[in-house]
Amino acid sequence: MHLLGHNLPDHKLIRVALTSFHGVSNHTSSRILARLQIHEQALVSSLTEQQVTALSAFLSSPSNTAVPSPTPVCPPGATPHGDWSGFPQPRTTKGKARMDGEDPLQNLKIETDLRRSVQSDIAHMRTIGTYKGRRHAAGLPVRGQNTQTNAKTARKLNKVDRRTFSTSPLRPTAESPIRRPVQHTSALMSSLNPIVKSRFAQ
Amino acid sequence: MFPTAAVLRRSTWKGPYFAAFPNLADSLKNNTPVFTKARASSILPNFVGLRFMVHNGKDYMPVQITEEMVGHKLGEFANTRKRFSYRQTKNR
Repeated sequence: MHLLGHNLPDHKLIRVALTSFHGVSNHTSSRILARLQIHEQALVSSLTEQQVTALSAFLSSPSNTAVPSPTPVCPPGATPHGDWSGFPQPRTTKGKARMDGEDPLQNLKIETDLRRSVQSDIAHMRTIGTYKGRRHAAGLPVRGQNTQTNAKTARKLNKVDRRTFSTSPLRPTAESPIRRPVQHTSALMSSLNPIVKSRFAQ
Repeated sequence: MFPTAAVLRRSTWKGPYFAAFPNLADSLKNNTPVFTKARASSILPNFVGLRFMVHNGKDYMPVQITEEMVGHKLGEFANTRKRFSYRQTKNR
């Protein structure tokens, strides 16, 4: 089956086949299937037409896809009949794992978007002249690894327009380095401004 | 999706780490550099336009703070390593 330029082999699990997308890990893949209510052991060949449409709609724009309600079978306000007191009750508060309440699939970036964002992050570090940016530009390991021997992967990949490792036949299109918008850091820092000011006042 | 990014970062309630630099307003006005060894200090929005001299372990490296540097650390801009250059003899 072909999905957005990727060939997904019919005999594979859809959970495994989805990992051929750059940026979709095994974990992400299971989360996507859970979101679209596809069985995790489903084969690519067993997908129905609606499921394929839903998958391609999700993968083409993860941020624009509507988030389904967490309890889709129970209408709001309804209580299931029978005595359910012995059973675990539905969670009313948000889980502890994601305290920010942020939906991880909402910010999912795959394929060209991901490559572009990685490259623009590197270009950003290079333009402002951080140590990490310099190591990228020099083709050396960025995170303190040894360089006397080895460092082969860094020599191969680390550049300002980094060649991202990929198993897919699609090559990333050459993108001009885009300056990363700094709004979100500024917004973060401005939200922290009261704390900062109070400390300066002391 | 990537719990480590959220789990391994500094607690939000602490706010960013930064050193208290005396007379920041004065040095911004007079354009005098601030000498510091606080490499771990975050660059705050009110540092923009300042000149820092950041210690790299040996001497002080000049760092001019711009808008894009906000959120990074001062030490990221002062290199601590010397580029390797081959010499035939050590006595030169």
